[in-house]
Amino acid sequence: MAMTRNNLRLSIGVAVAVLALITQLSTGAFAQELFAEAAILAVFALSLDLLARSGLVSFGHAGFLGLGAYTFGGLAVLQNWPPSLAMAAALAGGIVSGLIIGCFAVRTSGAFFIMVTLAVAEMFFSWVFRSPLFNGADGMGGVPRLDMRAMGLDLNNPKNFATFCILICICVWIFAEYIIVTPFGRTLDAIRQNANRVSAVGGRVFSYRLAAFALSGAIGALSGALKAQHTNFLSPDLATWVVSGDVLIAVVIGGMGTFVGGIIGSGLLVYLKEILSSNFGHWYLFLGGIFIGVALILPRGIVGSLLDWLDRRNARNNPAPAREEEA
Amino acid sequence: MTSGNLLAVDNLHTYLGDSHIIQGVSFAVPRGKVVALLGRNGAGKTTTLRSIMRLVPPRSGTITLDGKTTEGLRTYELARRGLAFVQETRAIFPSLSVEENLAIAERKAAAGGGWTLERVFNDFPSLAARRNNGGTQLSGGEQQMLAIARALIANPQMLILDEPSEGLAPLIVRQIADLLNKLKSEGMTMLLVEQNFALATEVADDVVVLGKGRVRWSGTSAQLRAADDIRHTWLGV
Repeated sequence: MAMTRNNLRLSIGVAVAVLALITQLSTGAFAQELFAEAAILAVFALSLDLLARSGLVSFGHAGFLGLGAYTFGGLAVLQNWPPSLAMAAALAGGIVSGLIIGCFAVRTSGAFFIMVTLAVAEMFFSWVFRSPLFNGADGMGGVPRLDMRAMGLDLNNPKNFATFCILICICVWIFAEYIIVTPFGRTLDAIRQNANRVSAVGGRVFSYRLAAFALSGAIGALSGALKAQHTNFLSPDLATWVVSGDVLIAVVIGGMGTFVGGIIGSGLLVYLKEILSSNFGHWYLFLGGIFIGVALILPRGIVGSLLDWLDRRNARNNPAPAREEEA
Repeated sequence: MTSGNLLAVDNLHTYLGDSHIIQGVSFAVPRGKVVALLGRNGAGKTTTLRSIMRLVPPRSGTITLDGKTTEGLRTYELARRGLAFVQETRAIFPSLSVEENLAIAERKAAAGGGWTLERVFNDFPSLAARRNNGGTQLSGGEQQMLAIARALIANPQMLILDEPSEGLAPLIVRQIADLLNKLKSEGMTMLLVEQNFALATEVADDVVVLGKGRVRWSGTSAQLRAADDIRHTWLGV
């Protein structure tokens, strides 16, 4: 029995999850901060990649991240909500804003969708940048982390927080993998391949894309709530287009539509940023160069190219049996 | 079952960009009948079908389904009202399995009975054998059969077929013709676009000949076979 695309994808995912959990436990506090950062970016990447399954690529996904962060931080700091409740509110905020923005955004696609999502995210950025409520451009500190001491887990400890973020990322990954095998997820696949065909067989493309957008918004907001907890700080920078660009790079480098690719891409991005920024002044220049290189050598991303290689190998080893003429 | 026209197209005008592709086309498809739209490449056959399904919006003209205008309806709503469109070049979903391709279109028949997954696999044994295969692993003939089966499983009032025989071997074209004849004998209303003159006139009751975006001739299949001048001028056969 030859290895299938899906099995390889899932195996890589499990391997990455196990490796991350084990390595993380045996490193120092500084590396654990990086693990937490990578896991949070990976959750964000999964949100983007889930939306991409429906054929929509957003360039304003930082809007959801910022919204989740500000909903969580705002409610926890200004309203003294318990962090668990604030986190639930952030998720709900992601869904609701996804539904509202989606109502006009998902009617477009391609470059128009990119422009609409970018515009909405920049609107959110402009608002929090000037809002006196959140200290505008100065940002707002004192954002608490989830209180899990009742379960014997102090999340203010870097090791615990990193473990927590990795576990959330694993849960989101499993959820995303589950979604794409449901009839809903299979229909998203069909829409990505040909939206007109789906309409012609009676599927309302708008509804499916709207649902995908809201789901993606919820996961994006979740990553924002985690991000605010990680840095204990809210900054308008969370919602800039650079953040949208970073996550897009992570997904593209890892392999769009593969889920685990975006996770690997996130780890790579966080690691390279750390290495490069501590050694070079113009480190984004080097980062850009590396990604151009990867994109040229592996046009479908790291995992995407690996899956293509598997397909070619399987096709070589098991040539399709000759068909009877009557088909 | 009431008689009369299931689908009526009246004075349809459609533009693609600045090009006036459909220039006032009118025809009707009576319930239980098979109508073929014939014409050369570029005559506007596919654009007519896409206008009916509102995959391209018509500029003017009325299209009625079951006596009610389809103005303002979207493609998916037309599909849910019983228009099943089998698009050109075997428009299946390549990454979905045979079964998933069918499931995405499945709709229960209003009166019960009708087409189900079981009946499709019973009537299309070659699909049953490949129900878990991906769409790309099918031969051209199997893909076309799947596209037709996917249209049937929506239990439509009417099948709209865009060149079902295109690019298929003669033996498989024969199978498609037999299938269409069988559906016709069961009372399925069909609108058929074809380049294959023999297939079209074998299956269709009535034929509408399009040329340069206008209706050039209409009549029965038997009349068209006798009308040499029409065939030479507008069909080149």
